[in-house]
Amino acid sequence: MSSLLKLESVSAAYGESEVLWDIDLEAPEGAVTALVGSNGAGKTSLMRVVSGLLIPTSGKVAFAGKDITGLVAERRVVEGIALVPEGRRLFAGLSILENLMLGAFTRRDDRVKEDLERVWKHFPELADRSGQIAGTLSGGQQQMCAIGRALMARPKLLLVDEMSLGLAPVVVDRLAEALLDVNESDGLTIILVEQDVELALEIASRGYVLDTGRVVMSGEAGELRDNPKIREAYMGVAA
Amino acid sequence: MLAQTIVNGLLLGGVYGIATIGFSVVWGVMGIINLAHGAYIMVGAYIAFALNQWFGLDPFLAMPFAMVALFVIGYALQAFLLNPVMHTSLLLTLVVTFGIDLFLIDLFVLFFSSDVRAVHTAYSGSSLEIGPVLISWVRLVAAILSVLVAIASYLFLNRTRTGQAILATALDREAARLMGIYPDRAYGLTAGLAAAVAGAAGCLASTIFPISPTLGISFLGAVFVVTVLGGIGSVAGVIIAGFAYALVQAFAATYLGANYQQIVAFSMFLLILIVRPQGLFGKPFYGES
Ligand SMILES: Nc1ncnc2c1ncn2[C@@H]1O[C@H](COP(=O)(O)OP(=O)(O)OP(=O)(O)O)[C@@H](O)[C@H]1O
Ligand SMILES: [Mg+2]
Repeated sequence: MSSLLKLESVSAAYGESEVLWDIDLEAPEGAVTALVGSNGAGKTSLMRVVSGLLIPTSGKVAFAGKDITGLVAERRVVEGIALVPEGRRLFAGLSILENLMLGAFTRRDDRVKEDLERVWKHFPELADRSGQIAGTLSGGQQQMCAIGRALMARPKLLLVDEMSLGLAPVVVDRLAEALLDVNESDGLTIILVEQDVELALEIASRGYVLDTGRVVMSGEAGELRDNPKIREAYMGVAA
Repeated sequence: MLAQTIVNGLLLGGVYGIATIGFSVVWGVMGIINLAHGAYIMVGAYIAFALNQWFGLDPFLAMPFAMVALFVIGYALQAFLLNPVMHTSLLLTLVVTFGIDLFLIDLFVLFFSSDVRAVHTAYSGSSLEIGPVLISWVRLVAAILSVLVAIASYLFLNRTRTGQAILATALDREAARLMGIYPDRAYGLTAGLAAAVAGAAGCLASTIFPISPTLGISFLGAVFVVTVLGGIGSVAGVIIAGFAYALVQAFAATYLGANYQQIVAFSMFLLILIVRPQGLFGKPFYGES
């Protein structure tokens, strides 16, 4: 399988303070890749690098064979990268439908309606209340709307940052199911950032472990899941 | 007298409303308190005056010209002066807009002197009589046009793709970037459209008020009051507040005397700031509730 996304020794910083060092990472086309690590490890910062919100200080970011290292976020969505940001970041004062349509802001093709139908199909509770103001939705509904908004861009690569945070297990299962469905039916490539390491490594085929801004481990999801060090450090299982 | 007072207020309310829309939306979307907003209204009024003097153009028909000219001015000032400044310090934008205000006033003193001017039309003095109530044709047309401009502004923000992009940028700049929206362009458009509506308000004002380079200063006071009254950034709120403001002024003028107009209006402003800082119809800018 070829990689849709490829990071080569990427480093990044917020002003003076460096947060990512020498990151090598690949997301194979059509696969789900997990990115795990403890608080402050740099997962969100890495997603910001991939989505263009944070431009690396050194290294190279390639997407679909193209060097996009310096490309601004506004352009990357056109190239096919969509981010479901940490904390969802919906447009709180606008309705569900308005949020979803903003997801398709750059699109000029005629399949927007079809994609909207797809979001409604995955999340019927959004369709039932499409005029409701996003800020008044429950946490689970907001996450559905955030995922739906990203899908409305019809991306090639979907980045999902902390999907499960603060949500009930049944809701998390539904969201995971929706992601797996678009992954399987459309071949959508996904990078899943999760605190819930068990969940992430269950859905994903490959995984990366990030610690204080560096990749400390990577490999097949199954191997990582069985690795005693990871079980101890991230799954709360005594070695 | 009561009926006439109410009519006077209603006729001016729309003008105060559209004089305020741009100021309020710029404040809501960008957090910029544009002290040059009154000067934009003044420029619009002079465009109507000049086109009337030179070409005999009806001041109402000057509206599209004033709107285009002010769109360009508002967009350019935002793109070249305000965007760079607002990324470093929002507070500095106050200084910059104050500078723009002084510059525009001085520029117009230079070209038009500080003489007080008026735009006259063939129908300026005529009125519609309904029983004891007199309705000036000019003011009636101005009121109708201002409501139309207000509705257009509302529909633009809430029903068009570009309007939605502006609101999205206002609500979450970074999330908007992820949608492919360039914030600086959205800000430029916001400022341009705000200035355009101010220009339209200036044309309408030219038919009602005497014109001078400092016309904007007295307007800016009203604009502040109406913004706070209507809720920052709310087009619908601003229109209702414009009518409320004009009615209060009309009553103060009729029953207390013209000298009390401003005092009453600003007392109302202070009272609202104390009692309902979020405005009368109060929700925060595109807030949830
Ligand atoms: N805007 C910022 N400015 C400066 N430092 C930042 C900024 N955002 C994050 N950091 C720092 O970068 C480091 C990595 O943070 P990041 O949010 O990427 O971690 P994370 O792995 O996503 O953590 P979490 O699991 O808590 O979401 C942290 O030390 C954090 O304090
Ligand atoms: Mg994070």
